[in-house]
Amino acid sequence: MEYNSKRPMPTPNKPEGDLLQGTLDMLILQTLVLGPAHGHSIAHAIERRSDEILQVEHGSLYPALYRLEDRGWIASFQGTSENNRKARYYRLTPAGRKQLALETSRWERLVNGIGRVLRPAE
Amino acid sequence: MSWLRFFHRQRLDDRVASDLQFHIETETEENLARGMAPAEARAAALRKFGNAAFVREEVYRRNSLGALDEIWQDLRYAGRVLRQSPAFAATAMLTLALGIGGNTAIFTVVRSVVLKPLDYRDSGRLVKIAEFDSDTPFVPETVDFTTTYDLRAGSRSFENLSLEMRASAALVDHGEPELIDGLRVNYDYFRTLGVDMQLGRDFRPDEDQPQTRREVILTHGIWRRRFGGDPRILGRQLSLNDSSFQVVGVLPAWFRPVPHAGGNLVPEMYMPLGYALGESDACRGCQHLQLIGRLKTGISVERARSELNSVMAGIVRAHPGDYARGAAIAVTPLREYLVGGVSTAMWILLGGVGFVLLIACANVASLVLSRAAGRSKEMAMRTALGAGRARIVRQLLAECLLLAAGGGVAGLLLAWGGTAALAAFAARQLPRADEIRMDAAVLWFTLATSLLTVMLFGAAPALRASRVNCADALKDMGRTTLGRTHHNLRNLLVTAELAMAFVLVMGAGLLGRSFLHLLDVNPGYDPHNVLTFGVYVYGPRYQRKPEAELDYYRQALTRLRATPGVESAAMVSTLPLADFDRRGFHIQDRPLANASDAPFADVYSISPDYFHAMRIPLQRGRAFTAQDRRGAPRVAIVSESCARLQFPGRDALGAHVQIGGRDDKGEWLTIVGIVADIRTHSLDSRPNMEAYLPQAQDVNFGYNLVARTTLDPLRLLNAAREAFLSVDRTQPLFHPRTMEQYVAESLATRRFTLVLLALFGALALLLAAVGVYGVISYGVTLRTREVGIRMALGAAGGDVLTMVLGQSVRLAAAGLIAGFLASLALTRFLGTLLYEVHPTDAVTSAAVALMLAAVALLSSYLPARRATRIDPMTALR
Repeated sequence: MEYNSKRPMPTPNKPEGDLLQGTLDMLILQTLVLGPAHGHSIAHAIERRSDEILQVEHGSLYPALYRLEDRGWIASFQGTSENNRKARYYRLTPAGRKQLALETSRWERLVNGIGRVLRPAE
Repeated sequence: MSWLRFFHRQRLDDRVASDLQFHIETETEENLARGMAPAEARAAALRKFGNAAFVREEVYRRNSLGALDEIWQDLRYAGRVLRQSPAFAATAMLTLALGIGGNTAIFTVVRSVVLKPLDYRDSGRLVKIAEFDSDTPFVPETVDFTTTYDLRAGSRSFENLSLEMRASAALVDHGEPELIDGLRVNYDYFRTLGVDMQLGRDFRPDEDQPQTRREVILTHGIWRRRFGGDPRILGRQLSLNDSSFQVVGVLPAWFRPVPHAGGNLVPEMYMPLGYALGESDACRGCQHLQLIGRLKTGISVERARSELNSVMAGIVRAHPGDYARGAAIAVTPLREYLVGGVSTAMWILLGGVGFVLLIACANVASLVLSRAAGRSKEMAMRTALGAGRARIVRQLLAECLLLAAGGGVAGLLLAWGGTAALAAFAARQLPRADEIRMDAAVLWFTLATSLLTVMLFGAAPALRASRVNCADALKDMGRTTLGRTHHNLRNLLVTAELAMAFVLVMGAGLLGRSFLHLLDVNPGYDPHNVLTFGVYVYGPRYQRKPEAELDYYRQALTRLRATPGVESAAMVSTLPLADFDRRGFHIQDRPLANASDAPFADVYSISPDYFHAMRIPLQRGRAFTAQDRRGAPRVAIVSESCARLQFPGRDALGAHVQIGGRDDKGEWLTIVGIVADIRTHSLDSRPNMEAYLPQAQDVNFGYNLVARTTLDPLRLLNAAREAFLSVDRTQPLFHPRTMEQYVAESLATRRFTLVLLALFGALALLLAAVGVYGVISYGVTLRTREVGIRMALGAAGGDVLTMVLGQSVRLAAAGLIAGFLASLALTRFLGTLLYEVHPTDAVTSAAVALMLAAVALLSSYLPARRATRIDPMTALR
């Protein structure tokens, strides 16, 4: 949520479950916990693991990837993909791991709080 | 975003492109695997991905420094715009170049002469020290040996205190005898200045003793000039005034002697001072030595001053008879002592040329404004297409920045030439003129000035131009009255220009009038058609044989008088305006409690014809004759002021006086004549008292010829030299000048300031005239339709002329009133540069006002004429 573009990103076909900026960052970091991956597989991993509830517009993934790399939370390297093409892979850095823990706990507190508001009886 | 990314964002973009391509192709393959048709598979992949171009652009944009990018864009666009109107660009740049170039050149002079530290090591610690009498107005210059000795013993503030005195000597090494200017200095003189020898060594303490001084140090200049830069010069014996001196050192080429205020002596050799306590020249009150000191690190000038003065107070208490009541010590930073006399003039010039820059900026602002009016349609279009106000301001400022950059570069070139010209012009008129050169600080100054001009001429027009009303502007430019608001601002600018020009021209006018007053000053003698040169007598033929020396002068003068074109000729010990010889003036029947309370008179030892040759009127009594010889009763002649001030209520003629020290057992001089006052030190200082002694009764050390001629004096130079050389070929003759040259030199700094300020005034007038022309001419254009209507309704050409000129009269009146008020506040800074003119002199004010009004009217006459020729039919169509 620190990222704030002056020009809003045009989203020609807004998918359901449009992701909050920071949330996307968190999801990318979480995906990379399992090991290095390239952009395409990150996008599919997010969709798959959310049971297709979270529809990532694939294009919006890349600015997020570069941003995370700028911040030093992920690092990239050149690799060969499963379909035998040159692809750029991303992996989690130690700083990224710390950031993920931070964001996860923040997220859980947030969900917790919202949950209590919505279901005060429990 | 890291800064560095900005520079390889192109490579990053390539990477983004390949990332995206990989993604889409992989997605397409997967879709194919799911059984889609190829075209559908790719379309689905693209759909899924979203706007790829936008992702790339977004990443690219994030990796740019947006402002930097856009500024570059602005500059390129501004370059194109300016190329399209080369006349405008050239005019603006040239105007700015005049302002920036002038400022850079003058700043170069100010920096080199006033601001830059002297060349000596740690020169901020060097001070000039002098004894002075706080009861007299004389500028402190000199000290005596014994007092200096006591000051040295009593003070702790100084690393060194070092004395120097003039010591010229005839060098007869090979061929033509030459008089070499030199100094006798304490052995630690060069250590005090912080100068190391290029060759050889410095003086040693045991060489700075009476009788032992036999060493000489040469400057780089004379070493090259007279000895061809001979590397084996060390140890060589030079014959100076028939005594043998051994060369022990050569100074480095960068070394410049400490200049002396008012002296045109440029020493080329240095010898040990060799004074000792108890010698007659070393007495308390024998003030003929110059003293410089090097402060210890961390000691302030104030602290040194108060310490020396408390030491001095003790000295005066111990020897009350030797010092004046107000005896004190002046301590001045050496740089201030050297350039203090011209620093006012320098700052005034910088201020004046600053005004020229402001006027130039006002002119360019006016130009930019009128262009902006013509471009309001363009601005409206850009606004309509989404350009923000800030963006438009930035665009206009970029144009201004380019103009200023062009002006700055051209100005720098101008200043480069100008500085060389100024340095040549200033050579004999300013201290440190040979140090004038541009350096890094000057370049920074130019850069800062150029940027400042952008703010001055660009900001207001840009802000104003950006405030466009799209609808109005786009509707119809032909009919718009948008120009009105611009026009008010332009009127204001022109008013300011006229006001500043007024102040500048007023300043130049006041200096000019001062100069004219000074040229009108009667110096007491007639400086026209007088040839002078120095004569120096040395050697066993003349040593301690005053009759031989006098005979040499008498013979030479007799031969000279026989030369056609020579009206009269005489010898004098010191030339007015060139030098002075000030001695105590004692009256026999007026004994003083304290001998040093005696007044001082400027003393001249002269041959009988002197008053005749210089045309100094004899008022009463008689002039000297050949009968006033050695052994005859001693006589003196005094000036009018001397007679009036020292002999109130009685007749000076016949009074008995002594010149120098008082010795009641010695012989007294009888005053036999009274002559008119002369200006000894400068044309603008009031006459002091003068006393004249017959040469035969008071043979001085060194004389000057003064020869009155009936034709151009310098044409007789060779004949005059020959008259002296034919008597004795071994004696040097030097410094040939006309008396008029001395007068001119005494006014040199004033002339320098005046010429430059007049130049700036002329420049200011020219720029203001252009400004008035521009604004009136633009006004006529704006009012074409109005004038057409008026003429259609029956207005005659004369009416239109009056109308347009009326506008210019209003402008001029406002400018002149503002300028007059500003000059009331500003001209008093000219202060000491003025002579017998009040800073708010009414005549000068009126003349300047008249001149400016004429210039304003003349420069609006052309556009006014154009207005009368407007054809109503064309204007209204």
